[in-house]
Amino acid sequence: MLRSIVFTGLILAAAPAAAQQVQLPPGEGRDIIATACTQCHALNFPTSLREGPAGWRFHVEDMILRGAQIKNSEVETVVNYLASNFGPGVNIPPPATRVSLPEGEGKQLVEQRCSTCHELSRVGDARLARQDWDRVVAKMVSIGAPLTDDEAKTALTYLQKNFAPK
Amino acid sequence: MKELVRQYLDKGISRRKLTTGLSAAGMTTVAAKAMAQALSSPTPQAVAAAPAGAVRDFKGTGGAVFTQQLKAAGVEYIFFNPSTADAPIYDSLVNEPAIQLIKGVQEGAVVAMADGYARATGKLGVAIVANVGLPNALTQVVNSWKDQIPILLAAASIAQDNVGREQFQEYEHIESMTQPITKWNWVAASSDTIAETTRRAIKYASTPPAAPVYLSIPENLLRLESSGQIYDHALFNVPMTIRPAKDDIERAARMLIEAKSPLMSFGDEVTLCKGEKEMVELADLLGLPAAGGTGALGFWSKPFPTRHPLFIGGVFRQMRFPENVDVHLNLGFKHGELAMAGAKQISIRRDPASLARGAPVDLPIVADIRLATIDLIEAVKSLATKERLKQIADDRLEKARAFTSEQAKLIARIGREHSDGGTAIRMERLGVELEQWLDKDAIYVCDVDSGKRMDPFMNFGGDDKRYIGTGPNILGWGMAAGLGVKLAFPNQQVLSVVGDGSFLFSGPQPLWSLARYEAPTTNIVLNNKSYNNERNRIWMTGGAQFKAGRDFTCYNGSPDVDYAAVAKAFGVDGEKVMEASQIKDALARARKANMDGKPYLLDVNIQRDGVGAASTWHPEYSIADKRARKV
Ligand code: HEC
Ligand SMILES: Cc1ncc(C[n+]2csc(CCOP(=O)(O)OP(=O)(O)O)c2C)c(N)n1
Ligand SMILES: [Mg+2]
Repeated sequence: MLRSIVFTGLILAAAPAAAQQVQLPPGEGRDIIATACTQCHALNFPTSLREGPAGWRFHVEDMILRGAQIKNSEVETVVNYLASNFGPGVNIPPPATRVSLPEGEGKQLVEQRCSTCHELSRVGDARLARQDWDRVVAKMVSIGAPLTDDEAKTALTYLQKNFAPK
Repeated sequence: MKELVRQYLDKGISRRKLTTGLSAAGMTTVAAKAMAQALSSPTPQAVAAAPAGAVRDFKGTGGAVFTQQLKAAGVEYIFFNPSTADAPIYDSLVNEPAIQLIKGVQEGAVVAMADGYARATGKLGVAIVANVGLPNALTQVVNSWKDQIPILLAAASIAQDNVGREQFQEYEHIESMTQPITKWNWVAASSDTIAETTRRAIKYASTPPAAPVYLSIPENLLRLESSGQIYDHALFNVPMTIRPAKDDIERAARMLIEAKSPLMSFGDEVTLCKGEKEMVELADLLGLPAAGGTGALGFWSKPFPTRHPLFIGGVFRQMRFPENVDVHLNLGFKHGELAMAGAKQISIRRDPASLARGAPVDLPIVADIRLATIDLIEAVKSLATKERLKQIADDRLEKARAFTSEQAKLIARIGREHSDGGTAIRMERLGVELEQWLDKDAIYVCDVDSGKRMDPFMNFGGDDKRYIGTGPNILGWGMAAGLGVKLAFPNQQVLSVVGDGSFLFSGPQPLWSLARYEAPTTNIVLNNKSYNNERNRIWMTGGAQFKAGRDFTCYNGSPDVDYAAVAKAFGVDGEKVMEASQIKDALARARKANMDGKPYLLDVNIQRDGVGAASTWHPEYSIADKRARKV
């Protein structure tokens, strides 16, 4: 489903097929997705991808705006299904690379919370300007990163300090 | 098919041979005959019988013969960017008020203006470019080619004696580079055949399925005093308004009446045949849920009213509504034929080449879409009583309405919930505001990628706004196309919407023509400082950029282009719109400028969204830093 954020047209949807089909676990909403989302593209979002309800809602509504036949009464079911089966911390594959982060206040928080949706290497590899860390952390929280406001601030300060552009 | 037609035009094969050949290639006999007729020159008898003035002798330069034949074919505008060699064409217009020249300062813009004009009117768009500017033109020709838009693209080629001598700006066989994206290309062979060759080019471009054609006229022939016979359009125009076979239509009518769960899909051929009204009448008569495309391919014109309770969105192999489709009628949608399990498929198409091309079709019909729809309506009415039809239609409509009214609520909710974009403007919000701002008879010219998310918040078709986009989305078309549309419909509001990427692909040059010809269109740049959809597509395949969280290709914000300032540099007034609260007033100023006869540009600060949208990271690289000397 996610991949389709992307598609500009019926045929264009045949863009590079990187991934294997995502296997959908059983649950209410699965059949809707299996039909509605496969009319234009395969279900091949990166299997490691995880988002919370708000994150998934964006993608589902985006697809609806582009024509996916998901009914008004089904939106909640679909979002819940995706968030519980492809949400933070659910069934995440073991990390491909071990990342060790520099010491400092916020290290543990980042290690624990920022690895529930994607590998920590993404955090470790990024070298971002201050305002970009601002935006990225805000975005992660908005799509479901499990951090309170205070925790987000701590994580942000840590990231800005340790992962500024070289 | 192309080869057969070429042989026929070059008088290599007879008309009978052509028809047989076309039938063998899969055309119905009626269609093949009509095509043969369309391609043949009028008989000497027809010419002799034509009313006085319909055929006339003309003496003048080759350039004048060319423009006189264009004029006789009803051409009112020539979009152009000149060189030296084509001067005789423009010389011939010095005292010819019937043809207005519209200049574009980049050949892509020249073609896009002609294309916008042709899409809006259904008439031929004429574009003349320098032979060396031809490659610039071709990118935009792809849009016309894929969407079957009639364009005559012409250039002056090198003088015949100089061919092959490696002269200045000569490159050999230049016309063959147009081959894959034109129906045909010619080099005029002698001055005395310029009129005939021009007619052939016009006919090839205009005879449905229409297409771009390329005509080059050698420089020496354009200058040469010559004589030619000029024909009125009626003498070589055969509009291919083919009626379908009666039996086929009756069969289709019966299937649609008896169906348990019918579906109608529709596409651009409805627009090209001007059959919108009849299509809606048919849907109403039978209560047919109507589905269009999900992208713009084959569906750049959205001909069915999107506000209509029978309009259900896109067509898919497996529809979730209506369920278990048993009869699918495809009305003029190039990509509407789908392998739907359990459904009988009827496809009425004007273009036989793409009919029954990929999916099984039980009842293929080649016909003019409007005439076929009229016949279908008559057949349906003759096969069932008024009462029975009403009952069938009411039943189906009720089910469709239950679905479409819920979907309308859903779209409205999404619009409401996403009206606040914080420091930037959400696409959804802009869509909602545009729906309020646009006149009901406005023409919405759409050249966007992620900007298509706004479409559902606006109403198109029927008594509502008209939508004109391009199927293949070869970007850099929109602002220039908007000029062509405004030229055709000066009394209607025209809005062109482009992305920041698509603005940059055309460059600012369309602004030059907008200012030069006082084209009062509003132009919106959806400026998300990114190839937003492109990045989403790339990252969603989970490649290295996604894994690293670094966008190597799509960020546009450095340099951060000020599009309103660019517009001002070209003499087009405009402004930046940074926050949602500023949209209304900015649109009001745009309207005021348009009312005063001026184009206007809004550089709208749109939120980047989707995957990888948050960071502005992009690869830094400085050529200045490579220097050992500060030069
Ligand atoms: C709810 C799931 C989730 C959590 C938890 C999460 N991320 Fe992400 N992250 C994503 C997704 C999905 C993407 C893919 C790109 C996007 O949507 O912007 C991403 C992308 C990124 C990127 C790439 C840059 C970009 O603009 O996309 C960085 C850097 C990043 N995350 C850092 C973090 C940090 C730091 C944390 C902890 C504060 C974190 N992530 C927690 C889901 C999450
Ligand atoms: C002439 C042309 N060049 C390249 C492309 C490939 N392409 C498709 S979308 C896109 C980016 C468009 O960016 P923008 O207009 O800003 O759209 P958005 O940010 O809304 O996705 C590109 C480069 C194209 N469609 N047309
Ligand atoms: Mg953009």
